[in-house]
This record gives sequence, C-alpha cells and structure tokens, in this order.
Amino acid sequence: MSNLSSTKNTIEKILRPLDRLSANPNARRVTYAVALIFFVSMILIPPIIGVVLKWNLIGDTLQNPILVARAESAILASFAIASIVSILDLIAGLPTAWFIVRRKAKWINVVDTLADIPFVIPTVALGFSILVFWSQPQGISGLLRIESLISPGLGLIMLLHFAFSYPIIVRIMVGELQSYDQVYEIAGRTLGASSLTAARTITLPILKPALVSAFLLAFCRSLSETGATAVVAGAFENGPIFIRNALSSVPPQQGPMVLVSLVLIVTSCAIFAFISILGPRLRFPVKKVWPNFEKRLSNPKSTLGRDGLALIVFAIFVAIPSLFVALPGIIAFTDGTVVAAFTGAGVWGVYWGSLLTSYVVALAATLMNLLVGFPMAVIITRRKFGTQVTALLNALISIPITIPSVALGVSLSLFWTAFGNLPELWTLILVHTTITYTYFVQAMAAAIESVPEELESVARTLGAHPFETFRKILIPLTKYSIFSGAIMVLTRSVDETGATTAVLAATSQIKTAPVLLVNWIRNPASVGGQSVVGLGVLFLVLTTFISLLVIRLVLRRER
Amino acid sequence: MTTVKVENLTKKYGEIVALDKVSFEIKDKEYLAIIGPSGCGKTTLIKCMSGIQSPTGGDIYFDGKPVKDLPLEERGIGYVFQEIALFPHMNVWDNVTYGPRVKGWPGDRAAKVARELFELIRLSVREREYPSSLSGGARQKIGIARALASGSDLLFLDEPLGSLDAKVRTELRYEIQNIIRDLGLTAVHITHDQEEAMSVADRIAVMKAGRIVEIDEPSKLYSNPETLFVSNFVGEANFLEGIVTKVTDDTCLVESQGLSLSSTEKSKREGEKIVVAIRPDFVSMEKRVNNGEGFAGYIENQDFEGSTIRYEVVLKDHRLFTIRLPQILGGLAFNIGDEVNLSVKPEHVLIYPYPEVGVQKELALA
Amino acid sequence: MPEVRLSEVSKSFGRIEAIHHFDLEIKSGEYICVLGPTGSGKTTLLRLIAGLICPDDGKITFDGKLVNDLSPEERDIAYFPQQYALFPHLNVLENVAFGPKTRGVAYEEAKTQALKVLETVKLDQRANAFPRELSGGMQQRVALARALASGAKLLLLDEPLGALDARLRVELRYHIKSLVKSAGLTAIHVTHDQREAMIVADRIVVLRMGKVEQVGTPYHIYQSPATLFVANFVGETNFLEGTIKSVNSVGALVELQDGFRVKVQETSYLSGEEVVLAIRQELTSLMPVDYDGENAIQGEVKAVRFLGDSIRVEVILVNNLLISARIPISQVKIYPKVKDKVAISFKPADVFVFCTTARGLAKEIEVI
Ligand SMILES: Nc1ncnc2c1ncn2[C@@H]1O[C@H](COP(=O)(O)OP(=O)(O)OP(=O)(O)O)[C@@H](O)[C@H]1O
Ligand SMILES: Nc1ncnc2c1ncn2[C@@H]1O[C@H](COP(=O)(O)OP(=O)(O)OP(=O)(O)O)[C@@H](O)[C@H]1O
Ligand SMILES: [Mg+2]
Ligand SMILES: [Mg+2]
Repeated sequence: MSNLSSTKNTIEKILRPLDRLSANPNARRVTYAVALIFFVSMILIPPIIGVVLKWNLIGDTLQNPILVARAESAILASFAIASIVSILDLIAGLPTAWFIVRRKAKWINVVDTLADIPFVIPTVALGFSILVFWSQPQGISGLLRIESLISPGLGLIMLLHFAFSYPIIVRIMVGELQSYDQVYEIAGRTLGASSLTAARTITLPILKPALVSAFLLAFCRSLSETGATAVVAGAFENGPIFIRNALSSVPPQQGPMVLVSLVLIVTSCAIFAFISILGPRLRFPVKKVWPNFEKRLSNPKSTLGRDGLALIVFAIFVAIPSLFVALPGIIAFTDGTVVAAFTGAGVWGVYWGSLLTSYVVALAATLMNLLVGFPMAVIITRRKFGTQVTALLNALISIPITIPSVALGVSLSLFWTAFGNLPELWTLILVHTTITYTYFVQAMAAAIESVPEELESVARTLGAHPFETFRKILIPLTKYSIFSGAIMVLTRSVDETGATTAVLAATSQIKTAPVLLVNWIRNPASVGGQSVVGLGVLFLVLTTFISLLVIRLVLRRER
Repeated sequence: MTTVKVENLTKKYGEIVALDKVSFEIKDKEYLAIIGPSGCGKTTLIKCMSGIQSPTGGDIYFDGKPVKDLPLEERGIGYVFQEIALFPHMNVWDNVTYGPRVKGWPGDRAAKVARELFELIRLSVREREYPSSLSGGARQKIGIARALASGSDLLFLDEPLGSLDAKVRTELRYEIQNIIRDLGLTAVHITHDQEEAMSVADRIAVMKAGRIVEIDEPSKLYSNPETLFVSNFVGEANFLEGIVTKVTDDTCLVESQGLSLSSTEKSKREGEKIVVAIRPDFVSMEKRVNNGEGFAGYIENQDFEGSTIRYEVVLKDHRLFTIRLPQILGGLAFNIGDEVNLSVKPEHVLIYPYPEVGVQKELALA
Repeated sequence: MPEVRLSEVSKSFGRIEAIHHFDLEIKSGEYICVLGPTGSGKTTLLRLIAGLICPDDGKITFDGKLVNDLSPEERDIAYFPQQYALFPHLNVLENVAFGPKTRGVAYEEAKTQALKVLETVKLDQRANAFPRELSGGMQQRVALARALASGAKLLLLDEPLGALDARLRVELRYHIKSLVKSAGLTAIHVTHDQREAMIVADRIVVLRMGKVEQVGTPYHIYQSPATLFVANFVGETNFLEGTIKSVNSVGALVELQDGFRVKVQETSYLSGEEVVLAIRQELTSLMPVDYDGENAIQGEVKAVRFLGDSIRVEVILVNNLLISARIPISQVKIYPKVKDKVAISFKPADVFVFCTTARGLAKEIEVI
C-alpha cells in the first residue's frame, strides 16, 4: 500500500516539471504543432502522393482498350454496389434502430446485441459465413437440396455488403435516437400528429445530419471492402477486386493498379465532399401530410407489422447468414482437426505465425495512434486553432476511411517504398496506423467532447497547470473511452485485408491472418478441406470477439 | 367548454412513486397553477393528464369523458414546454401552422388562424425567421401560439417561463395569462415560483412527494394556509415552537419561550404542542420607548430589497425574527442597532400542530 | 487582499462585442453584483477576470499589478461556473481538497482544511458522496466550499443560485453572502435576477450588451436609476411619455397624451422637451374615483393580481394608457374588482424624468 503511494509520489515528482513546462504557451503550441505535422506528413499526404508519383505508368494502360473497359466496369460496379446497398441498408436499418430504442422490453437487448454480430465478426470471416450460407451445401442451399442458391458473383457481393453495412447504420441511428431529445416529437404529437407523421416530419429532418453520415459511412465501407468481397466475388470484379487481381498476377500489373487506385481515390473523395456538403441541405418532403392514411399506419397493428418485417429482413439477410461462420468450425471439432491445429502441424504453423503478425502490427499501430491521435482529438474538440481550421481538420481526418482501403494501400506502399525503402513490416505498421487513425481520433474526440470544458477551467483557476489539468481531469474522465478506443483500433487493424493485400507482395513471407484466410477460403483443397478453413476462421472470430467483449465491459464500467 | 377531473391518479417508476393517488377537479375556464419543490411530481402529473405518459392507475376525464386510453394526439390539448421545443428545422410560420396542417385543415383556414394568433401574441417577428434567431421570450410566445393554433380549449404549461431571464419572466407571465383569459381557455400551469403561481392562477395546487397537500385560491394559501409546509413554501415565514396556554371562544393564547401571542385560530386544545408561523409582511414594528416587555428586540440586519426593506430582529431570547416593511410605509426609518417593539394581529398568527417528523424535516424543500 | 481594476477592457467573438470598453474598480472585501439580461456579457466578464480568455484590448490589474498575461492558475482566484462543474470522478472531499492540493499543500493537511470548509456549508456528513448522489442545492454548496477552500481571496460566482428552485434560491441568497463576508473575501457575483442582486450586493454593476449602464449601491441604483433601461430592469416601473409644458423653480408640468397634465419635481428640462416619466409601481397609489389631489388620473381596473406580500392592480387610464399600482398586502382593506372605476396618483417627488431618445421607449427598455 505504502509502496503504491510512494510510486505515485515518484511519478508525481517526475511529472511536476512537465506541469510547469505546460504553463508556457509556447510549449503547448509545440505539442499541438507536432501532432498536426504528424497528421499532415504521415496520414494525409502519403496516400495522395503515392499514386501521383507513379502516374506515368498509367499511359500504357490507357492504350489498352480491353484493360480500360475492364477497369471502367469494375469501378462503376463498385459505386453502384455501394450506393444501392447503402440505400437498402438505410431503409432496412432505420426501422430496426427505431424499434431498438423505442420499444421497452427486455428481449430488445437481444436484438440489439444480435445487430452487432456482423461488426464483431471480421469481414473475411463474414464473407466466409455468407458464402457458406448462400452458396454451399452446408447452408440454405443444402436445405433446399440445390447445388448453390446464389453462386459467388455480383448477387453474393450485394448480400455480403448489405450484411456488414447494416450494423453501421443501426449503431449510428441507435446512438442518435438515444441522444435525440424526444420533446420535439412529443410536441408534434400534442399538436395532433400521429406517431408516424411526427417521426417523418420532425424527428427524421432533425436527424438528417446523422442519416447523411450513416449513409456516407456505409457507402465508404462498401466501396472499401476487399477481403470478404474477394471471398464471395467469384469471377466478378469491382474496383478493389480489380486491384487485387492486378496485384496478384505475376508479375504485378502496376499500370492498371495505379490507374484504378487513382480513380477510386479521386472519385471517393469527391463524392464524400459532395454528399457532406449537399446532404445536409437536402430537403425532406416535410410539408405534405396525409392525416388519415398516416394515422392508420401509426396504429399498433401496422406498427407491429412494420417491426415484424424489419426483424424478418434482419434475421434472413443479416443475423442468420452471419452466424453460419460457426458451422464449419464446429464440424472441425468432431473430425480431429482441432488437435492438429493446436499441435501446429502443417499449415497451422503458418496460420499461428500470421495471427501473431496480425497482433504485432495491430499493437504497434494502436500505440502510434495513442501517441499522436490523442493530441489531435484535443485540438479538434477544444478548437485550439479556431473554428474554421477545426472544421477543415474534421473533414481531412475522414480521408483515410473515405478512400477504398486497397487503393489506399497501393498508394501508401508506393509512397513508402519510394521514400523510405522500409522493411515490409514497417510499411505495414504505418499503413495500419493510417487506416485506423480516423476511428481512433473520432472516438477520442467524442469522449473529450463529453467532458465539459468548464471542468478544465475550474481546475485551472484552482491552481492546476494545463498538463496537470490534462492528467488529473481529462484522462481520468476519459480513461475507459481511451481504453476501449484502443481496443477498437486493435480489432480494426487485425481485421484489415484490403490495404494489407496491397502492401504485401504475393510472394512475401509475411502474412496477416485475414490475408492468409482469404487464400484458404478461395482454395480450401490446398490446406486440407473445409473444416480446416472453418476452424481457422473461427479462431480469428474468437480473438476479435474477446476484444469486443472487453470493450463492452469497460464501457459499462464508465456508466 | 372544458372541465377536467382526475381521480386517484398514480404513477410509479419502478420503486419510485411519482404520483400517489392524486384527485382533483378543474372547472371550465379555470386557471390552475401547480407548485411544489423539485421532484414532487408536477411534470409527471401533467404528462399523465396530457397523455405523454400513461399512469399506473386512476382515471382522467375531460368534460366527463374518460380519456385515459386515448392516445396523446387525440386528446385535443395544447402543451407548452419548458424547453420551448420549437421545431428547429421549420420557420416560425411553419411551426405555428404545424397543428392545423397535421390535422388536415385546408391551407387558408390554417393561415387565418395563424394570422390571428400572431396578432394576439403581439410579436413583431418575420414569419420566415427560424427559431434560433429569436430571443427566449419571443420563442416561448411562438411556442404558445403553436399550442393554441389547433384550437384546443385546454392548455398545459410545464414551467413555460423556467428557461427565461427573471425580468422577461415577470413580464411574460401576465401576457400569457391575458391570452388565456381572452380566449377563455382552461389552463394548468406548472411552476416552482410561488409568486408566478399566485399572480396568474385562480387556484393553486401545492404538491409534495407525489401528493397534493393543499389546493385553494392564492390569497387563501398565502394568508391562511392549512398546513405548515404550505405556510413555508408559499412565501416566507417565521416559525416559533410553543404550546397553547388558553382557548376562548374566538381566540387562543400561545406561549413560546416566554413570548405570549394571541391568535384567532380555533379548534386547538390547551396544552397542545404547536408551531406558530408569522409572515414577515404582517408584522409591524416601531421604535421602542419603554423598556420593552413582550415582543421586542433589536435590529441586527437591514437588507434593501427595492420596494421593501427586510429587517432581521434579534428577540430577547436570541431568536432571529424577520420583518418586511414597504418603503412607502416608512420602511427606511430604522437603523441597525435600533431597539424595537413588534406587533402582529391575531389573525396573522398561524398555528399548526407540531409535526411528528420535526419542524426542519417537515419544511424541507428537497 | 486584491483590489481589482479593469480599464477599457474589450472582448469580441467574431462580430459580437461581448464586452465593450469596460471600466470598473473593485475594492478589497467588496461584494459586487453584475446584473444584466441574457447575453449581456456577464460570463465573458468573469472569464476575463479569471484569465480563461484574454482581453482584445485594455488592462486588468490586481492590486495594481497587470495580470493580462497571467494564466488562470497564477491569479489566485476561485471561479464558480454557471453549472457548478464539480469533478464527477472525485468525491465531495476530494473536490474540495483539489485546490489546496494543487497549490502544494500536503495530502493530509489539504483534507483537514477541506473538511473544515465543508463544515461551514454543513456538508461534512456527505464528504464521501459523489457529486451525482447529491441534490442541486447540495451540489451548489459543494461548489461553494471548493471555491472557499482554495484559499483564493477573489471569488468569481457565475449565477450561483441560477439552477435552483425559486423557493430555495430565496433562502440561499442570504446564506451565500454571509459565508463570503465572514471569510473576508472579495466577490463578484453574476446574476440576471435583480432582487437577488439587491440583497447580496454591496454594489451593483448593471450590464447591457457588454456596456455598463450604471454602477452603485443597491439603494442608489433603485432610488436614482441613471437610464431608462435601469429604471425598468431594476424594480417594477410604469412609463409615461409626454412633453414639458412649463418649468419653474420647484418643478415642471408635463403634458401626457390626450392633454393630461402631471407635475414632477424636476427642473433641469426646458419647456417643449419630450420626456419619459418613470414611476415605481409601489409608489403609484390607488385612490377613489373622485379623488382630486395632485397627479390624479381616472381609470378602470383591468386586472388584479395577488403576489403574496402585495397586490398589483392594473388600471386602464382614460387616455388608454396602462398603469400598475402595487399595494402592500398589509394595506389592502378591500380588494379592488375588475371594471371598478378608480383613480391613480403619484407624488411629484417620486417621478423619474428621462429624455426621449431617437430609439424610442420600447427599444430603450427592451430586455434581450
Ligand atoms: N422517466 C423517469 N424514470 C424514473 N423516475 C422518474 C422519471 N421521471 C420522473 N421520475 C421521478 O419521479 C419523481 C417526480 O418527477 P417529476 O419530473 O414529475 O418532478 P417535478 O415536480 O416536475 O420536478 P422539477 O421541479 O424538478 O421539474 C422524481 O422523483 C423523479 O426522479
Ligand atoms: N466562446 C464564444 N464564442 C462566440 N460568442 C460568444 C462566446 N462566448 C460568449 N459569446 C457571445 O458573447 C455574448 C455575451 O455572452 P455571455 O455568455 O458573456 O453572456 P451572459 O451575460 O453570461 O449571458 P447568460 O445570462 O445567458 O449566461 C453573447 O452574445 C454570446 O453569444
Ligand atoms: Mg418538472
Ligand atoms: Mg452567463
């Protein structure tokens, strides 16, 4: 006990000079400047510069009409899939979110948790699960006694993207609806509006910014997804798959790869900017009201029908297909594959090695983010550089998640090899840092936002120096969020496939678990059959599942 | 024509009993205020009455018809919120015409009603302005216009002035009352400000811990409250503990630490332990010339309150006694240190049985 | 103990001038109330003095020492923000001990000090509770204790009673002043409630749109308001517009709308000047309709409102102006009724006279 307090005292003594140093405005400025410089030079510039460096490779490709046509249709497919799927997700996810927030029953918690499943499962595993469910004999096809209900290709890609974007919409809208002040809707109802009318004319227009950002996030995720898409794509090509194919052909076709990456980067940024600016100005069809019709739709029976339909869609297209990930894995328990796995025999040696690589990279990326992401979050939430710069930074922060991850990976890998000639592992860490940076900074910014600035003001007037305020007020009040943010970054990184594929040459010795698994799933025979693949997927799911369980427990502590 | 009847209304939130068998009636065109300390169940009461929340038990009747199972939007009421809650995405005009619109009224009828209401609230705002550009007071006026636009005769107001500046609050409360009077509405107005309640209401219901402890006209509640709690909650009072020494036909004599006072209160037994409550406004004070028998002391403190002056007098037994004198009645004629005689008319000496939980607990505001 | 002086202090946020060429001198041990409507710059003023924001212009000195560039932790002040801002992760005792601890007092010593202060606000029993477990009134007292325990000599209170129920507010305003006074501190207390200001303040600063309207003791402010705004904002006042008809050595004659003439005891105006008369409602008396004393105007009762310690009678005068009279409850013999014919009257000495301005009466007294 006394030992503990003496350690505390020592730490206090070490930190005191830092406290005093922080009283100097210049010292503070330097800290923030470092965070900014890191952001600009490591996160913002590389993805944009990388492809631009190699733009001279494009010329040859443009001469080849067959390649250009292929690239064109792949890019168009990407945007078409992303738009259609995100809209469908919005339509299907909104009623579910509504239902989760507004219905008051214990069993809603189950739906709430189930809606997170596609989140919890790494996308590669999700792709595998969807593949098994829709197109393999163990799934629904077997039940219907047909070879394959939906074989790999465009249809399956849509089903996959629908499933993994669904929880994004539900999560964002549940959060927004929970913090939405219901008084507006109640006011509408006291004025005679039926619940549907009030929702349509009041709540949804007020929540429009959230709807737009949920749509955008789903859109970007769909545009970006590579690993799982590769699993279900069959011969079909969208943007990321095109790049992946170009990468894995021997020798890699750099020209087409750079071309498609460049187009994807530019277009996705443009669309993101366009929707973020125009989205909030969109007008809802507010004015017109159909009192009787809407009243009929608001009665308990219709509401029940709507909720039922939302739940059925959720079950058939999201929950059940996602849960199929466990099936082949369970079979593995009965046929002895488990024993082989734990002895590390044969392919399993490579598997465990790749899992280790995944976690080493993820830990390193998380640490980098903790160091430089946190000050950035402070800069953004406390508007250290004025309102306008803050708004700009806020937009720039989203770039890494806006750009499709393979394209980002291609660009970054070109950049880092051109400049640093870094070992592959280092490049990989940097790439993962970039990819997870947005998530971390946004999560931290939300956490800091929830701490009233007044608390810091009071601490200052009570004699605390800025750094002292930071460690005695801000850190204790956000520590759980920091921890859960870190774990989220870790999981995201472990899950990442697209950019990783782009960085690691097809012949590379280093492999992360998801990259390895994509190969396994596409070619089960090479590793000894479906049950080996299933078990490999299951282990990956379990590790992420544990991490996310930790987040939930930690966040519950905070409340 | 709107009357309201509430019977045994009960609302529980898990263990917490927010409303405990509340019953009362409101007459047609009556203005009822509900006051009580924070958390006593005021908001819960009108949320249950308006249908925003469903009660655990009891019945509610509007014009004699049960409405308990009617959904909120079909009860035909107006509701004014403390948060004001104007729809931020609609301009002032769309806010006010929202009610008529969702009821499917033809456009010209809605416009006519809105025009009349803008006239009534006497507000010079442009109809295309958005709520965020208006001051708090103007916003709440629009809030009232919006609540009235669909033509309901029953208006609920939950702390309509709570989010406004003190000065705006006093001005607006009279305007609100005038509008409600002119339109002949029945109104239920919640506030935690007793003066606001007294100045606008026909009757006031005082709540405490989920029950209505007293419901009466403002002047009655002020000058002759039935319970010790109300005597403290509605206006300030001095409290003295004592016993009844003598009871006659129309007065009784009480004694408190050697101080003897007579009161017009009846139905007290000799020897009963009681608490005396005396409002600072009903005490008169004069400079002392004799050697000060009885109700006397010296001035320890003087606070200038504007129209009135508040004095703290230390009585002979060292108890502190508060007195408030209007400026026009020579309220400024005294100084700190002055020796004074106090007197209070028997009808202003209020007497209550000594509460079982003790005076402090009984009067507690939280 | 600090003597605070602000000279020519200005602060803008973009196009909004929150504080505009502000001058004020605060003596040591004084209890100053800054009174003003929403958005008048009260919080901004406190934050400037606390050093949480920097003035664009002007000087702030403590005891003659310029503190413009001193950071808040070096100013030796205690700040009590509008929403209390108790540290949610610390219990009551740790909250109160935060100040002494950061100023270098040893842990045990700081705790003892904190407990002592908690005793004065009667919360030593709840020392181990967390802020969220306390009622609004208790939280207010903890915040006060935290400010007092910091040992600072200058206390900055931003609407310390604002978040409380009206009834509780009345009780606590007496308490807060005596606490501050007995600790011998200098205090700046911000509020929009004029009655609260009157009771707690040694001197009141009336603020409007970032500018000082008037500074003075409560008595001074109430009895001789410097501007129309102050006359309206502090106290309850009737306003009448008119023109000076004649002036002599003891007073002037003012003609109101419809030819009514009233006497005022004010000689500094010229005949023909347009003026506004301001009369306190409690100095406006209600008389029988046939009363023919000084400054009597007939009218009809429009509304009677019971306010507890007084009643307020609104009268529509024959010239269609609305005037209110406030009568102490102890003076009410019979209740006037609506539509009763009555007269109102006021003494020439009780009338404040102001020049008419180009902006007009309504704009001049508007509370935004
Ligand atoms: N949704 C709820 N869930 C649980 N308890 C509640 C809820 N709403 C109110 N309560 C409790 O019911 C009681 C009465 O609350 P209510 O809001 O009606 O009080 P009030 O008199 O309006 O108070 P105030 O003056 O603070 O607005 C309180 O103890 C409160 O904590
Ligand atoms: N950080 C800021 N950024 C922009 N404008 C501000 C900021 N702080 C204050 N203002 C503006 O300055 C003016 C004065 O604000 P201030 O908060 O000082 O008013 P106040 O008198 O404390 O009001 P209230 O009674 O509502 O607390 C307002 O118009 C406000 O909108
Ligand atoms: Mg309430
Ligand atoms: Mg303020």
